Amino acid sequence: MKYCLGVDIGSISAKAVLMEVDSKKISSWTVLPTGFDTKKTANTLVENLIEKTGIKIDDIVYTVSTGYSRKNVEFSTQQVTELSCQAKGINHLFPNARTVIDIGGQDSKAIRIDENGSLLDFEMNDKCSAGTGRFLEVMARSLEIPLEMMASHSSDDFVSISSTCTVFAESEVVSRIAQGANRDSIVGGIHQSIATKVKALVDRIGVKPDVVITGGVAKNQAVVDALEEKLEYKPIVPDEPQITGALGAAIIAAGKIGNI
Amino acid sequence: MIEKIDRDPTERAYNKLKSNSYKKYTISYYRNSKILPKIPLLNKKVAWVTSGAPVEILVAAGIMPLYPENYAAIVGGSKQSVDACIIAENDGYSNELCSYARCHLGTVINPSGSLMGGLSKPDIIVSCNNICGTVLKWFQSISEYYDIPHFHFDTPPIVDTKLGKTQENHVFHYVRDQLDDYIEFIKTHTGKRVTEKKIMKVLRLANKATLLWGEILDSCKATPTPLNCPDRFITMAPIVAQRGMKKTITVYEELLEEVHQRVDSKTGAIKNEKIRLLWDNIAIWFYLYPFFNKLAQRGVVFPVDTYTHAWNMTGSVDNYEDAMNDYAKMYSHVYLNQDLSYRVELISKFIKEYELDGFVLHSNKACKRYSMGMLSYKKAITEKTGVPGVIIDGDMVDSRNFSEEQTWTRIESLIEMIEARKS
Repeated sequence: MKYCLGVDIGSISAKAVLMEVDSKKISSWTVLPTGFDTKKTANTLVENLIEKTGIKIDDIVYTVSTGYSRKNVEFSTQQVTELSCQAKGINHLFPNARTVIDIGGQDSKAIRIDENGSLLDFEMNDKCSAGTGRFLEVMARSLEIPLEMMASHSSDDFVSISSTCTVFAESEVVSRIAQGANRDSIVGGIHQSIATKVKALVDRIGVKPDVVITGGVAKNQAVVDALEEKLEYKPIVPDEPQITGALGAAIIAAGKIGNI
Repeated sequence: MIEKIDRDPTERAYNKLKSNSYKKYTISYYRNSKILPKIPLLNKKVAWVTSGAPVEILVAAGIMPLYPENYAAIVGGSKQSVDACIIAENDGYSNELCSYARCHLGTVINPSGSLMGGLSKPDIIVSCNNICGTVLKWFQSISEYYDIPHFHFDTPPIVDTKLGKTQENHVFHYVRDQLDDYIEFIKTHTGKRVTEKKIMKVLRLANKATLLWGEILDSCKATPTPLNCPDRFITMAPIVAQRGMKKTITVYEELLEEVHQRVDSKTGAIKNEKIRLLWDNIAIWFYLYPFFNKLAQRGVVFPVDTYTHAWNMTGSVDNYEDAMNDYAKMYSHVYLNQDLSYRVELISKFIKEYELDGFVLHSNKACKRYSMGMLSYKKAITEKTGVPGVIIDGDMVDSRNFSEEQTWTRIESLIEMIEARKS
């Protein structure tokens, strides 16, 4: 059996999807923190997949790497940007998707795709972590709430967080706490802040249904709900929103195998 | 899709220009600017001017023009600009201010610690707001700092025009009248007399050099294109800073000859041309060759840019009155003094004429005027031409405002879009 591999090394998380070439079925996938040694992390991703599935390394015939550290994946056959990979991955899962919102660790992206999963247009956040996973992570730490618990603490009766800058927003959160604001209201305000920033980004390319949200932040239901309200479309969230970039990379790899 | 090829990032993917008189000329000009004003017998006066200021009249007066913007670009290319910017910031200039202004002001405050010991101190300064509004206050600061006279040439923006349309009559007269005041200003503050004959001589020389420069730019329509962005960015110095001088003509005759040779022998600016793009905005000077070489390694070339085309304007040189009238119009109609619909028209025209696959808009944090409206005109250009574009964030000389990886993700995504279309 032949396999292909998609590896997505993002700024916070590293993801890999192993795909069976002929059936284009996902055999296995794995997610690890990126860490500082991205080359080592990429190798560990493969080791995990081999251990899980029992396949041999030689069974992997093509690897596409993506994400910020795509160039550090020494064993990759090809490098493709995460924008093209997200387009392919989402098209594979949701053929009617036309707008992809990817909220990753250090940046958010609004991507327009066509019915073939080709990239038509995109916009990314500027050099600022507002509206990204890192923003959420910093705020969760300030509020001493585990990241995965943030959504459950989110209150609709939110306190607005006006600072765009992550560092200033953090001090704003601290001063809100000092003023006696309810912690869950602050959490609600943080989620609103991300949704506002992302909505502005999506407006740059225009919303066209179906809308799919990916990336680690898509796991936060409160952000998804806030975005739904602002976008006026119900976004689709994949079961595993973190691995769609790696999935797209695997699909591109599978498509390449016929050309070898 | 971008195939993985293990390349040495320093491996040269472009064909180096043989012409080098532009470089020698620029170096000797700066050297002379440090020496000549110090010789009392010569009575050489120095003027600092903005890149869009009417320099020909200064040249006709025998005054040596120096360009803080050009100098800041050289300081940027020498990777000394951040230090200079910090000096200006520590003196109270906001880090949101134009980085050419900050970089230059840093060298004014601390000339001894600056490249070439800073620019030679000016006797007069001349700003023109056809490129941006910052220049007025930047030059006002210099005027106050040195206590020297400042002439500001005011060119109201050209709005709601299409290619070729002229400015409002009252605006034209307002600008034209200032040229006479400008000549008077020079005479009053430097003692240098400017005759109509001298002005005409310089305008003819400037016209000739500009025509050569225009032909060089036009020749880039060839496939493969003979010049890439860095070639034009570097060789543009004389057309900006030494316009109206004899030597500028010989510099561009030499370059044009090489360009013709390249076109005839089908020698490209880069070794393997696959994708042709347009560049909009000022260069990222501190990352110039690594940036374009990395793209050249992937077969990406830039046959045209809006930046170097900004110095491709000529007027009548038949008689003094017509020449001065055209001169007033010319300086009002520069790229950055026109509205966004002009940008859409011009870039779309370039995309067609230079047979381009896409365009890169450099959202330059330091240059607000050049970067404003980019999102709107990106959309409009794509709608008009069907060609995709991308906006990258950067800065002309302040490397603190540039993120290499973010930039590459955007540009590579554009390349992937183009490659997918081509296949």
